[in-house]
Amino acid sequence: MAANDPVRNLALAALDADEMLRDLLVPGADVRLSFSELYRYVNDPAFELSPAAQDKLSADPAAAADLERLIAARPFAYMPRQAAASTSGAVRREVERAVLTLTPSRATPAQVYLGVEIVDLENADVPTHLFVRSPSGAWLRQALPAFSGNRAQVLLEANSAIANALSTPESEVYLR
Amino acid sequence: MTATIENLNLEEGKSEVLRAVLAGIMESSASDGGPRYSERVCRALARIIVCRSYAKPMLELSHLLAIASARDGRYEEVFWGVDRASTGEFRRAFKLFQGIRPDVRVSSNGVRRGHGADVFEISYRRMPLLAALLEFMIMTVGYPAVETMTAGLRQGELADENVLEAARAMQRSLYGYLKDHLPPVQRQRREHHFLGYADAHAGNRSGADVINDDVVMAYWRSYAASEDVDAKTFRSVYDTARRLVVALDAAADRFAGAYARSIGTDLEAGEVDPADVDAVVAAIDADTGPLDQVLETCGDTVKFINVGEADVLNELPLGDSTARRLPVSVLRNAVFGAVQLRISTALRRGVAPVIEIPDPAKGYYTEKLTAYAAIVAGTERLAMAALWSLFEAGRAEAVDLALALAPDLDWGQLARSAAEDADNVVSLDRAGALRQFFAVVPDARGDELAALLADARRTWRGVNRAGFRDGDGEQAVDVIAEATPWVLRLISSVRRTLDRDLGQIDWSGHEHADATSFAEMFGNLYDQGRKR
Amino acid sequence: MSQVAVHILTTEGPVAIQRITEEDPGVSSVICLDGLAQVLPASPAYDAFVRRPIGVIERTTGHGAYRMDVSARIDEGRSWQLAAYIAHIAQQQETSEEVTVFATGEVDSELKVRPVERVSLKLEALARQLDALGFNTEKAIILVPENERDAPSQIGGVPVRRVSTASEALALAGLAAPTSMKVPSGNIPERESGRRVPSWAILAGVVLVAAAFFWIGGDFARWSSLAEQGRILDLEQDMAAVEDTFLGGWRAATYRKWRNVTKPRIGRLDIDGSTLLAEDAAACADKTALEKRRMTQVYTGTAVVCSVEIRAVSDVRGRVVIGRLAYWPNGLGNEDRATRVMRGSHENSGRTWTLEFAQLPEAGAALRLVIISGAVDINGSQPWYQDLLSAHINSAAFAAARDRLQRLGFDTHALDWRRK
Repeated sequence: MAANDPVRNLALAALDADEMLRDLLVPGADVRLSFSELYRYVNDPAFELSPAAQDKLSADPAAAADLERLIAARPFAYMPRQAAASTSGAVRREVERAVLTLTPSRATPAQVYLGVEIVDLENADVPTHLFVRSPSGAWLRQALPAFSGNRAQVLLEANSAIANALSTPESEVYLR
Repeated sequence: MTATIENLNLEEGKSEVLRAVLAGIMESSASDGGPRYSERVCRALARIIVCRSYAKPMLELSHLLAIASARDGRYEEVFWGVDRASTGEFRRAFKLFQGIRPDVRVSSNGVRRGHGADVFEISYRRMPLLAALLEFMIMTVGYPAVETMTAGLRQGELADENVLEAARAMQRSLYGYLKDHLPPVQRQRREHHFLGYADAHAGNRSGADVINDDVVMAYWRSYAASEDVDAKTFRSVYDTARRLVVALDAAADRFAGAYARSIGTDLEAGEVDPADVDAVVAAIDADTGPLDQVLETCGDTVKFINVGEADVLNELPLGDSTARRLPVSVLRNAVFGAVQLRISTALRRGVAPVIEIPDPAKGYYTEKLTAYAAIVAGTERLAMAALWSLFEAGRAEAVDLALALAPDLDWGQLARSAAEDADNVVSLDRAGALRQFFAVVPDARGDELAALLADARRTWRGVNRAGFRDGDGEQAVDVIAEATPWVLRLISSVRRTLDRDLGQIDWSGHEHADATSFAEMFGNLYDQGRKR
Repeated sequence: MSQVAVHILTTEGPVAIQRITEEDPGVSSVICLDGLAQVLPASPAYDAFVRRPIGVIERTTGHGAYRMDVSARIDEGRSWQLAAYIAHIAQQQETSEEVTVFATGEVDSELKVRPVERVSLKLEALARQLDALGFNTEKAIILVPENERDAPSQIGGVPVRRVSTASEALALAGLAAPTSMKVPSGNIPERESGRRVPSWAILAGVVLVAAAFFWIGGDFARWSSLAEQGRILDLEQDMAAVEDTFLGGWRAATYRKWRNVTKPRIGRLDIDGSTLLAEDAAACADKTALEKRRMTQVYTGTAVVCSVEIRAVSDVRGRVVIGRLAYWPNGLGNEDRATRVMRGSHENSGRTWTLEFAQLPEAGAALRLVIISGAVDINGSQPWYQDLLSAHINSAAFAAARDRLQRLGFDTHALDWRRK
């Protein structure tokens, strides 16, 4: 069999490639956060990113950009940054399709009611959760309970990260 | 796009980012914690990347994105709406696309896009790989970039040019990425050395014919003690020979067949076409045989094959030409490869090894053949039990399985009317035939079909394995239905290997000679080691 | 301050109502677990139980949002209502005597106590845990619905009383019945997020409604009667007849507002439609072989559409769903009248329209479904359907018909389907 036999060349090239393939499939020190996980995080309220995955996300600007695009792509409603904070302590953000309110509990001042009201109920899937991007760029997620009529309500600890982020006028909110 | 095999310098570290992406895809999980992409799909993806053979898959992906966007533009809901990227889940997902648009057709085999003669079809079996490719694209060039490149695919009915343009854009993008992250392949010394040895002893033989049982044994005897190449174990030499046999046969097949080759590939100058490399690597990939397909499809839900049986059947090279070309080496590897493994394991643990040469008087090779036959007989029994499960669940796959298990049965009108039309749309005749089939009452003393079903029921009742027990549920039936074609292929593949390749040899002569040869080699390799 | 301790009877044992606190009227009422920020699944039902127009608590207390903390989880049924009602009333009253009440029962909008399930299991659970609760059995009572004739007369010395009304229950618990029903607070929309209604507005509303009752007089009674009978066209014409008289316009407007205030909460209307498809027209005959597919606005497939089935379900009890389904083989409104108009079949919570096509829909064929919902079914002539079933949804004619029904206390929804 001649050294420049095309069959032989192809076979050896394939074996070399196969070896490289096997080598590539042995995980190294770094494992990227997959898009599948980001997609589940955005669309499945029951799915939580593990602390390790959250660490990866915060250290991976490309994955963070993918996440942002996923959340921002075709949301039910988007609530941009606000000009100024409310002086009353209550928060209200209103866009065409939804109203978000944060109302301190009278019964337990350490807790607040997050209310989401939507319009156009019959022409769209109701949102199942909201995402808040804090001014630092970190994402927070809050699952919404089933809507009763056009309203869903969650009771939050007033000092929780999500309540704080929602109270911050510079944060952005996506309903999905 | 061509590459010369002389250009084989490894750029260390360049591939770490790529490795991290592939690892991310391999580790992405379904909701039950299992892998979202099967190992086979991950390997196929890596093959596309390493061989840079992404042109055709990218075109397929582009068509699939166009179809998946047909409902409301949200292709992600199809690709990631399926929990596990499997054939069955994509089949279920695309059921919802039936009749959604005139240019999109859904059949039982796959989805089609286009009109008249200009139709592009993508099978459900191909979709897991295309989903992994899309995930790879997003993880490398970024989701926003992919969204931009595929924006033209989400605008209702499309001209083919839109699809081609998106495919080209994604190809360009991936080409740019791989230019920075994929190092050239490294020349593998082991295979090159073995093939050089085989060539030197080939006489006037060529191609895979240069490798036979004698060459394998002679190479091992010559180089087992060598420091230059890694050939100490018979198993490593057998594996090298096997890989070369498969690669050479697949390469010869590529050149014999009328495969479209990239323009400008200069074969005389040693250039190779990426699509050819991809095809040969796919052939080398040992895990694409029917056994792996059965194990992958069944998971822990249905135990057509248990772990012990899989270990034994793994000794048989199914789905390639190894058993035909190297029949004796197959059993030498199974028997003496295992003996040598026990020796090296003991040495690694610091234990004095015991060299256990099997007794030729007991017919150790024929014993092996009997063991393979026994396992495949058990699998056939499980296939019969599976018929009852599918029949009871009213699954159409029961008909196909019954036809496979009892091909001589007089199916009469039932078999004739069960044929599907060109579009795989269930015709009324098929519906009628199915109704007739499922109306049969199992009866051991009844006509052939009734008796077959009674046999299946009796077998079912005698089996106690996962997936074959009353109450194992609908999921088990789904898995049985999906796995059955692979099980049948496994059975026929093992039978063919045993009957055609391994059954024609006088094993008793080999048993005596090999016991002596291997005892001598093991003695040389390990007794000297112990003396040192 | 009330000394009445109220427990909800459950099959897992009694659950104490720990406290009831007024919340901002802009939020929905919630049941929370033991002071935590953990909202129990029964909360939407509790909100409906509290808030006007269905809810009985706001009618009594004049406030529409509460937080009720309970000591353990309660299920999503309605059997907690009697205990919750008693607890709400108790909170409003000063009592010096310590009383412990265990109660189970559903309370309807007329404050009748309705039967609930598994009362015997709840009483058994109470019996097992009675000793551990530590209360004065001589100043305790167990209240169950009237139909529980097999209930024991006492458990651990605590008498078991069957009650048919909430006022009976209150009396047995040593509480006074509320002196009068609080008047609904004016013409405030059902809920306006985050906006609190100032007390002066409530007062003004009370005065306004009281005046309205006085001035409307006989008109009010007649119109209410017509409305209850579902004679909506008669109602509309009767009101039109007085609108030109002295103060008649004001009276009609006031009555319309009253009807809007008292109409059932809009709630959620779930609409789900299916098309049943076959390969060809002949195959439509075999109903078992038809392919059922979810209805979308436009059908672009190639199969024959044999029939359609649409179901509309309301999640608000007492909301009546009616409507018509019109078939336009040559496109919506392109002929003098629809080829077929279906009334739909009544169900407890909604209505189902089924249309088996005699003339199969070809390209351009259209369906229009109009759903009207309100407090009663509509009897007699309904001229508004003419425009509702034929005019474009964004047209003035459609809007006029919809507004006409809106003024009479009905909500209108329309859905279009067509074959491309």
